[in-house]
This record gives sequence, structure tokens and C-alpha cells, in this order.
Amino acid sequence: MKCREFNLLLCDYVDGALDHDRRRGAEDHLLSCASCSQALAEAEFAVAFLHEAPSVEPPPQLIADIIHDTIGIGGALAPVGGGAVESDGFFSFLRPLFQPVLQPRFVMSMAMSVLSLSMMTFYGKRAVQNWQGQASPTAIVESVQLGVRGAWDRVEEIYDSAAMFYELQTGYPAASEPGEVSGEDSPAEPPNQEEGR
Amino acid sequence: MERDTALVEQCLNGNGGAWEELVRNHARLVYGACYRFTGRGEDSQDLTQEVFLRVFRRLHTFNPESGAFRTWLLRLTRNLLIDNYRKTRKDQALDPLEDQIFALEEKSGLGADAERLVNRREASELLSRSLQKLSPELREAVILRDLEQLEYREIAQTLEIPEGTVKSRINRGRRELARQLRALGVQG
Repeated sequence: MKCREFNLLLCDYVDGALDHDRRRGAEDHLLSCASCSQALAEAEFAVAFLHEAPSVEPPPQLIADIIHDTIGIGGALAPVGGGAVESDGFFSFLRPLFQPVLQPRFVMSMAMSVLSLSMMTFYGKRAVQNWQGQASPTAIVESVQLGVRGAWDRVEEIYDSAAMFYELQTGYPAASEPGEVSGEDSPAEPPNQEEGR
Repeated sequence: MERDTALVEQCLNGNGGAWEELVRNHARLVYGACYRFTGRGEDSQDLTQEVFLRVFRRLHTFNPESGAFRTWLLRLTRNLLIDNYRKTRKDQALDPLEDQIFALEEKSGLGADAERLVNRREASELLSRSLQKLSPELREAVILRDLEQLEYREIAQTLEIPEGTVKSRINRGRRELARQLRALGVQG
């Protein structure tokens, strides 16, 4: 074997990818060639150092930043097929303007804020009136129970509206409440679930 | 590999969870390549973000028949790194990592674990410094083979060069790296 041939095999030799015969031929050549032996020593030294180098871990925040920069806070994937955003109709230029407030999480927060404020004003006012009108403890408890029941009904109504809005925004069915009986109203299987297995 | 292809398909169907999984599965690979290529943590973060933005925008152009997702991803990464290298070459000449502070003097008062940690950090710094001295062609070949553990075939696909050229670059890159390490005082 000549130096030129050995040079072609050096990479495979260091990586242990040579068959027995060629490895033996290379070893025979190394016995009689100082420059190729030095080349081998250098390559092996570099590989050993590289293999001992600690692996580089990305900062945890980086992954969150990438997700945020690409699919936003809500986790809904924007069309990636190209051109879908541009072909969104006459008012498509308004889309970037309203993009931040159209995030499902933002809409949910707004809905919950409106709900809290309306409950505070409506039921708070009623409770004060009841308190002033009926001073007996039983009447107050009944009034509070009535108020709580009414508030719960309103919460359910607003939750249903918000869930419907979320589904329209994301194309995903909203999560069902814990303990909800599956039936007509139970959420459908998420799309592509089969593909993910 | 099959899993990646399935995830890409799900992404194209609008599944945000699939995209998140793709990012989580490959962030380390991309960040590692960027970090070893540039030798700078902050730049590597920016570049990794840029790579995934490009991937996100071009996901519909990925063709599983022409290679694995990982190869496609690394090709995009490599192209961005080379673009970045060309843009920042002048800055690098003025600021070639020599300004990095080595805490050698702090070693004497440390315990065994801390000393080992410092040694590992030093080794990593020395490697980064030595890799920066290599030409981009040799550097990328060595990083892909010896740090990212890619097969020659995958490297050839990523760099779009023949396998023979890949091996030749790896050879030259390793030998040059050994010389640079020795010049920095590393004994083998």
C-alpha cells in the first residue's frame, strides 16, 4: 500500500470501518511509513478529544422562544403550506394587526374578565339590596345561595360560548369538563391523532 | 426517521403539538451544530431560532423521498451557518475568541467535582477555539462526523458533496484540529 492509498483509507481506519484485509494492509503500511503514522496519531488524538467534549445543551428558554416565534402562545399552527395567509380575502391586510388579540388564550382571559366584572356588578348589587331589605340570617343565606346558583349558570353559559369560540379559532375541540358524561356533547377526537401513533 | 416524517405531515395539517415535538426533538442537534461552528452561545441561540423559523416557513418543501428530515434540517442549518460566517467574517477577524476569559487561576481552591467541571468547561472552550481556526469546510465536516455522529452518507447529503470529498475533509479537519489543540497546549 502507498501513502496516497492510505490517505484515502485513513478516515475509515480511524472510524473502524475498514474490513479485515484492508485494515491489515493499512497496518503493514504504517509499520514502514513515519508520515502516515503521524497523520494517524493526529487524527486519533483529535477524535479522542472530540468524543470527550461535553455535549452542548440548548438553554431551556430557547425551545419556548422558538415555539412562541413560530406558532405563538396559543399553540395553534398557522398555515405552513405557503400563500394561505395572503389569499385570505380582501381584509387579509388587517390580520397581522389583530393577530395578538385573536389568540385563544387572550380571548379566554377577556371572557373571564368580563364575566367577573358582570358578576361583581350584578350580583353584588343584588346582594346589597337583599341585605338591606331582609336582615334575618336565613333570608341572607337564601339570597346568597340564589346568587351563587345564578352565577354558576352564567359561568356555564359563558364557558360554552368561549369553548365554541376556541374551537372556531383553532379548529380543535375544547377539552371537556372533568366528570362530563360522554355523549352527543362530548368533544370529537382531535384531528391527526391516528397519525401521531 | 419515520416519526419525523409523520410529524412533518401532521404539522402541515395544522397540528401545533407535532411542530412542538419536532422542535424539542431537534433543538439540541441544531443548537449543538451552531454552537460548535460559531463558538458563541448567544449567536448560537439566535441562529437556532432562525433555523427553526426557516424550517417552519419551508416545511411544505420537505420531501421525505429525497432524504431524512434530520439531513434536510442540517442542510438548512449549514446553509445558514455559512451565510452567517460570510456576513460576520470581518467581525470574527477582529474578535477571534481570544477575549474569552479562562478561569484557570480559580482552579486551585476548588473541590474535585468543581475542578472536573472546570476542566470540562476548559476542554469545551479549547475545542471551540481550535474549531474556529479551521476553515468552514473542514469545520463543518468534523462537527457533523465527530460531534453530531452522522454517517458519511448523511454528511454527503447534507453538504451536497461526494462521500470521497467528505472523508478527505474529515481527515484534513481532524489533523488540523489536532495541530490547533497542541498549539493551545493540549497534550495527547
